Amino acid sequence: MRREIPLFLTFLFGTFFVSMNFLQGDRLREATGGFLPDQINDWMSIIISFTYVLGVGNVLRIHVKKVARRENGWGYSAATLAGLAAMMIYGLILWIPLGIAFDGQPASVEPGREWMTGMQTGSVFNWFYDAVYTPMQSTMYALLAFFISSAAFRAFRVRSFQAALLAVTALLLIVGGVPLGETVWSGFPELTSWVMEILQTAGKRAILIGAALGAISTGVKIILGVEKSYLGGRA
Amino acid sequence: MTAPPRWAVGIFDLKLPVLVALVLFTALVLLLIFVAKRRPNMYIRPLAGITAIEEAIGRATEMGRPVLYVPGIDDVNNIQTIYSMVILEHVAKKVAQYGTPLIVPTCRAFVTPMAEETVKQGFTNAGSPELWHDGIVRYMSDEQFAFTAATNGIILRERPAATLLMGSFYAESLMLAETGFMAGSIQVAGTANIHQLPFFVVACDYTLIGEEFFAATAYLSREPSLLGTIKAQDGFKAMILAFLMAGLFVETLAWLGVPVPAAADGIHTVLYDWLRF
Repeated sequence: MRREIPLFLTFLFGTFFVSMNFLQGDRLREATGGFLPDQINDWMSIIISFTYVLGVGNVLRIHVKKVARRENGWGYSAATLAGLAAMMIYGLILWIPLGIAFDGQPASVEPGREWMTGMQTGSVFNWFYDAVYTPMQSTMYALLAFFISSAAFRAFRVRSFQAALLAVTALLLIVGGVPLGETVWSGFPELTSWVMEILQTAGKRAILIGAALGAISTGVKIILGVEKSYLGGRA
Repeated sequence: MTAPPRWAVGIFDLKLPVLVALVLFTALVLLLIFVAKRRPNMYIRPLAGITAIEEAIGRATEMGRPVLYVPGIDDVNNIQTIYSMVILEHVAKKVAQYGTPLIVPTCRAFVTPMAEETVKQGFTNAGSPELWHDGIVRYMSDEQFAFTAATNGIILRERPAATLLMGSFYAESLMLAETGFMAGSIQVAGTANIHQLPFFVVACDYTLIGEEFFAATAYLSREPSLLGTIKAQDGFKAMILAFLMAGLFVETLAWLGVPVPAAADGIHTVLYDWLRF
């Protein structure tokens, strides 16, 4: 029964969501005053929020052990734990009186709402997010440009016929995409569009058809219980 | 006779072409699973990327360095993440057979317990459940770039000999793959997110493209029922190709001004109108 019940539930919910594709959700919602898929999605959100407890447990288990044993790189683990603790304390426990909000803006204080919750604009929690996390995220994203350059450098080394084709196409697209290309030859932008809209789209769609069939077949395998290894035990 | 209830009127949106295609494909899958069970030695073309997974694990074993497995950054409601868990189980089993360290960074809290159970099961299937410890599956962050920075940190500090990137990836794909390249890892990637495929093709040693990613466990386990689904995919693809070719042929004739037989044109029009969903 340890495997049969999950398999039955997978079949039930899988077929339910597939069949929902063939029903008019809006009309059902209007007619019945509710819509089961919406409710199931709400259940899923609730389950997901519980898994954050497991996630935090995982972080604590790994990093506390590392700090306690002074393993290699324990300083990073200490920083992780400090970040986790700070965000949790300011988000959940330590609310700030509205009068001393970090943005310095005078706030109209409604009776009963004298304290600022962790998520409100101007809170310490949001300040950490906006002033610390967001710039770091932007920095990471900006690094992508350098990664693209180094990857492109390797990809465009002409070692074979295919690599030569790739390099020539890339060069065409680069030249066709900047004003200089159009100045050199007025047909460049049109050529670029043709490569993108015809050659590239054709290849992309071929991959997309294969990937979609793979995804559908995986879905069918899972719903019908042919693929069971994700439940544990032998496939 | 009483009228049907108001809510029952017009609630169906059959999307007939999709429904017919789905039923046909499911039938083909079931039929070929049945056939594959009777003929277990069914031929499927070899995929270099799948063989490379085992080679990569072997290389990590020889070098005494860990294998890094990244199951993408999407949640478990993405079919790629579920399938990545299936591949992870095979990887965990193989890694346990060789006694090679494994690291699985996760980007979703929901994926973390799933990955833990999957790795434990893989170790158990290999007969070495004692290899499990807390440091294998590491929940990093639900935030995309925080996860990327943390995983890149692992790659640079622990220098895995093999990096397997299997699942749904977005902008972080190239960052992870390039960092792995810099660390000297042999890298095998697999995803169905077509916009990330060029990055993986450029930066990784092997890439499982789209459907190849979903075929991985059939190749790794050689389970007849799974091989049958690969054949079904191929069969259905052949059908799609035949439709495309027929349409292309009739369309080209019309474009050239060649008179098309009424029957062919009629079929073409019907198919075109019907399939334009």
